[in-house]
Amino acid sequence: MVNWTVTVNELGPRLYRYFLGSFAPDVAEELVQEVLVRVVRGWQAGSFDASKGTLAMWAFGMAHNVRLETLRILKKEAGFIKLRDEDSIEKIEAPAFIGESPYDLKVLRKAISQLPEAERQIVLLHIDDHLSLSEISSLLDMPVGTVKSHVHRAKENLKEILGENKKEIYE
Amino acid sequence: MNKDKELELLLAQLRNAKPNNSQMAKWQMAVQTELGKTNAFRKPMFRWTTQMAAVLATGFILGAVTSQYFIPTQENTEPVATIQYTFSKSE
Repeated sequence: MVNWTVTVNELGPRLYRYFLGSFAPDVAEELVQEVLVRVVRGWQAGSFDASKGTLAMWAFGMAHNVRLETLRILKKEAGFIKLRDEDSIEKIEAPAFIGESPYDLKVLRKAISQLPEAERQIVLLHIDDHLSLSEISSLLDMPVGTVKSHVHRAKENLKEILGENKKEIYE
Repeated sequence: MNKDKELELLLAQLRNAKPNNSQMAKWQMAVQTELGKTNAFRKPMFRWTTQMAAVLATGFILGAVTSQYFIPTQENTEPVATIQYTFSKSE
């Protein structure tokens, strides 16, 4: 049996950070809820296979799909991401984040969005400290070596983006 | 600032981001509601299967009791055919 209260307390913040790398906080909040509900439904339907990985890994697999689905939907609605991002970033309540400015998160999100999709996916999963490189590799169906090189390349690209386009990003 | 440091600081900010209490409460509520939905769906199913089992059991009992009166067996039927055969042969 799963203790769902503990699971939500553990997975909620991790999934929230994952989605914050791509979306504004209010969108991230909704997406975390969507993933958690899907996890419960899947669990009840018996779709979870413990031999293939942990519940957290399974949830991150769902989060990965939800992120792609949402990006697809948002892409169709032209300018929607920009509008949501800029509108909601101003409304972030200070207690939602600890020891940082929401403005910096917006900068990081913009920089991440400029990465190639493969690198972006890996960086977002790599932000979660609890997911190992081998777990990320099985989640994305990629060899561990490729994941490692993507992480390295993504960090180099991020540094470049933050350095060269700093003015553009902060504007 | 050093590029590495700047990136690490930004990534650390994302790693340290935490949802607030109302967000956590909202997710807990959503999960509990989803679990409740499943339970609500299961209860009538259980009741339905129990009812079907009870109906079948009653049917079998009634069938067993009444069969001895209504289903013709060698014991409870009169040998009409034998009488007719004997009668027609004797004619």
